[in-house]
Amino acid sequence: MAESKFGQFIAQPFRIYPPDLARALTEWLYDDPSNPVRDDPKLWEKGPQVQSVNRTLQFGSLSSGASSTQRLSIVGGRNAVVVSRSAVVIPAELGSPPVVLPNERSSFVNVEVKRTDGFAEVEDQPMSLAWGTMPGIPYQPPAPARWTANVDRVIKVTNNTGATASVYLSWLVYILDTGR
Amino acid sequence: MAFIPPEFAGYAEKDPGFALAMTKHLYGDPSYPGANRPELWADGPKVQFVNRNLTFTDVPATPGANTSEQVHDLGGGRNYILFGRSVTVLGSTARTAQLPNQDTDFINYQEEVLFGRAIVEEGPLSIVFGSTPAFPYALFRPELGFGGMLRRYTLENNTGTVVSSVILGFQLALLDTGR
Repeated sequence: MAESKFGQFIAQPFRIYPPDLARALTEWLYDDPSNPVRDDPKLWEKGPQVQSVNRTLQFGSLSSGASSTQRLSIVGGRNAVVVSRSAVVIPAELGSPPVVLPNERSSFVNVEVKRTDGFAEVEDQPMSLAWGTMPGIPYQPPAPARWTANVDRVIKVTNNTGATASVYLSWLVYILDTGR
Repeated sequence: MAFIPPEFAGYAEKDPGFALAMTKHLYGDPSYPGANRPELWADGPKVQFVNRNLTFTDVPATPGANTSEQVHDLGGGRNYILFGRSVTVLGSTARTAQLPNQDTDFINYQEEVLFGRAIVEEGPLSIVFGSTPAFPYALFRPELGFGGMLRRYTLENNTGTVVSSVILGFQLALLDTGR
């Protein structure tokens, strides 16, 4: 493992990853100004813990053919590690019986994700290509993504299902639980 | 010890030479201002995973005229690393619901670089692409793609009806230089 100016501490949830990645993820969260003990790495091990949270963005009752845009700040100004994402499209009119497979409408809703600095992370495309739409199998990038605090995402959803539907996007995120 | 970005640490454990090649492929690309200053790479831009796509619309099904092709540069002029791909086929007849993989046996796919080498020989989408959402076709070894090296993507529609859209998705790593 490469040397680090912060020492060898690796947060518990990241120990499943290769050591150099695990340490980079640890430092991404602990070496953030929102951490009160940021400047004292020897306290990191006894300091705030890494907490996994699910964050969800809802586009409710989106008319057929309509697009909707929302701005996402996933943890409100703190660095975050995004591990996976998933999504579901729920039609306004449920059939009988009201059964919805999470992926059966996922080709009919487009999703685009752009950072506010203009970088396109997910080009406009059906969510089935770029999003986790199978229960229990969220979409995972090849390595967890380190999201920078205060770099928001602008997320556009387009409903091509032919009927009104609600779209839920979800992210599994690791943040530092500093109690605030 | 040479710099390897943490995103490639899993490869570095198993095959350090390949991880180094992946690193040099992105950071040594002339589109990155620090390409010739390896000592700056560790403090330089991060590796960013992105989803790119290529859309074919109104692919005809007429016998003898049922192909459609596009020439495309996935990295937009920059070097990239391809990790996986996925696809969906949308019929011309509107459906209220459809599993993303149900028509992928009926569209053939071929991919070649412009100087003629076939990257993917012609075959059904279902066997060369991931066709289940959230479970893209992951390459056994990430492919190092060169910016500016155009590829020709060809589809052949064997569904018997016009297909309104075939959308190909690609999971790439790019260097996040902010442009």
